[in-house]
Amino acid sequence: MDVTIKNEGAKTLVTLQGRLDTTNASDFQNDIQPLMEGEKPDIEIDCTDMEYTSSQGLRMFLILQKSVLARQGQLVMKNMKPQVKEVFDITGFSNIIKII
Amino acid sequence: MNNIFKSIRKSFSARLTIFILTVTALLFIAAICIMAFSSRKLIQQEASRGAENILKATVSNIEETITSVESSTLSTAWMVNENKDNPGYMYTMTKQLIASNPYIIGSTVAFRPNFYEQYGEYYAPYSYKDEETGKIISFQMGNEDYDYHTMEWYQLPYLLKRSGWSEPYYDEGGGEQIMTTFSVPLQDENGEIFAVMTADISLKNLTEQVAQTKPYPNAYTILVSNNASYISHPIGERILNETIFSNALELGDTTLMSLAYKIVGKETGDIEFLDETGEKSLAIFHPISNGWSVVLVCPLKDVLEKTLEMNLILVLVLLFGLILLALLCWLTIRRLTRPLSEFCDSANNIAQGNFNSSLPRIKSHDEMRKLHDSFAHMQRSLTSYINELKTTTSAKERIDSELNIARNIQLNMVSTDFRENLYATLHPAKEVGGDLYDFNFTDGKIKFAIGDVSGKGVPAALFMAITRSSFMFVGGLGLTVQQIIERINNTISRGNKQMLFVTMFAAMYNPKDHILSYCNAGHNPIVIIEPPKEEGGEAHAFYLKAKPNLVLGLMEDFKYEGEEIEIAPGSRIILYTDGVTEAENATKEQYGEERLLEFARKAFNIPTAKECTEALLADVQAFANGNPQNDDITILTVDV
Repeated sequence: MDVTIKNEGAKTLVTLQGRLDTTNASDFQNDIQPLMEGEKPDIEIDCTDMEYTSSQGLRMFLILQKSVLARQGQLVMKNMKPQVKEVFDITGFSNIIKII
Repeated sequence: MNNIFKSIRKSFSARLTIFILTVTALLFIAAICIMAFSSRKLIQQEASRGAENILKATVSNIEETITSVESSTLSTAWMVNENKDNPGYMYTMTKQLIASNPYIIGSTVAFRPNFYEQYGEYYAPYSYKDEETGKIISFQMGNEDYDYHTMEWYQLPYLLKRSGWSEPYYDEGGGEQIMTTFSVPLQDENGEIFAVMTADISLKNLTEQVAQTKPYPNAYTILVSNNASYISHPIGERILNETIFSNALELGDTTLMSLAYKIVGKETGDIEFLDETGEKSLAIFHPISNGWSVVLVCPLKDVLEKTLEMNLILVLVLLFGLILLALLCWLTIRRLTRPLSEFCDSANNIAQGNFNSSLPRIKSHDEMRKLHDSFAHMQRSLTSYINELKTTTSAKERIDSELNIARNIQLNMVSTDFRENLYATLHPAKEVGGDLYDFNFTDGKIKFAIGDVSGKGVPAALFMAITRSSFMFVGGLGLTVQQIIERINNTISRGNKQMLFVTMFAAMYNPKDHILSYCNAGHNPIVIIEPPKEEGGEAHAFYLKAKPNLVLGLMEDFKYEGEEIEIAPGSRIILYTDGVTEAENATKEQYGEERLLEFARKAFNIPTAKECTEALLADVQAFANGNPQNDDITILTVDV
């Protein structure tokens, strides 16, 4: 899983690439640690090249969402592949995290 | 013998010694060869110079003899000329000449025919020394039988009008010895030759003198005449019968032939040639004033005997040196490398687990010291490593046994009280897992649920235990599936700071009205297989569309929506966790929902729920084809 984080003005752009599964979930947690800091974050995650996420991965997005909400910020995920979107839908995560 | 070679191959000191010795021996041999060659040349030069000096002494002795004979004869010849009117006095003259010179053994004054009319054709008064008595005897030797006028000793000086020496000849009838004659022509006032005066000398003295010239035991000296015929030679038959030329022709020896030419050319020098026995010899030659030459022949073997002796001593000294060197090398190298074999023993000891095995004592500060330090370091490292390994192994063993116990507890937690129409299986990917299922039969209804905790291993297992206990409790309260789900959600959401969550599908089937009530909490869609509408038709398998709601454990008081569907009696329901659809083979391909649906279509004909469950597990495992299981696999089959 490759994570790229870029700041564009007040917005933070994150690009994900590859598979997010049990084996690399803790690496991913470290990679997104910068996103857990700062007031009123405005984070946009581009999932164009994300192939798969496991339930561990979902947990990471959930932790991120909770952290963002606690800091009065917002988190948006976009361009999900259908099979990834399906996981978010099945588990009801689409109701918690804003997906466009 | 083989054993010796083997031990040499195994022994470092022996191999090194052999190597050093080989190199040294080669150097020694080269040195000996160079020395032998140069000393041989030097000695040969020295020998030839020495022999030449000896030869010169011999030559000057001979020349002295010859000169004395010549001068005595010439002075007597002058007196003959003065007294030629007195023919009888000639006897006295010849006698006086013999008496005056010890080398002269005979003399004559031979007159030309009719010089004295009274004596006619022949007049040659002759005197000679009788060897036995020492008396000098005289007589007139010319007559018809001994016509001296035709003889060489008379003819040559007569015709050439000068004095000279004859070729040596064997004097038969006279002295019975090898002789040579010095002839002087006598001339009158008009320059006409009227007589030839001669002096005979025996070569016996000269040859004896020559024979004594013997600088080496097997050397010999020969005297050759003007035309290279032998005057003296160790082989007696050759004397006067053979020449060096004839000898060289006979042998076909060109070196000998060139020697003959040099001698005839009155040259001085030396030449190397093969003598008749095939032995290399050195010939040193020098001319004498009367046209003869003296040749000294030395076998090279004799000349170089000293070299051989010297070389032999040299070889012996070097051989002794080599043996000494070998001994020293072997001892030194053995002493230096002895610690190696001791290190070898230490290493063997260490290999057997005795890490405190003693090391050889090293006093030097060389590579052996380094080896010693490395060994010591290795011992320390091994000891601490093994200790560490023991600790971690025991810790791991403890954890393993605890995990095993936990696994048993967890597997006992899920019901195994199956019925004919309901069967389930649970396969954790690790020792413990996060999947769960449950079922009960109360009020004539079948309640069943399947769940999957996010993640795996111990954290998931603990969360699974909480969920499972909660389900056991609320499942028996006679609530709707929606209420059950909400109660569980509320229970596990409290204090869930780790954000672990559970997906769950709970359902209740009422056989009376064939209604399946269900509530989904973010779980995979379940599969329903309805029997064929008509006899012999195909079963209809499909994924049940259910609202996802939200996974359990994240939001307390979340409102879950329940749903209902009427299904045909005799249908089969398959519930599963994502370990089934996400099972991967070696090429990272997933089992997937398509394949599962494909299986479901055929699965209707599998008689019992148990067989159907096991067939699906087998199908998934066959697909993974040995690829390690990533996620817990749980399958629950219900026939209604």
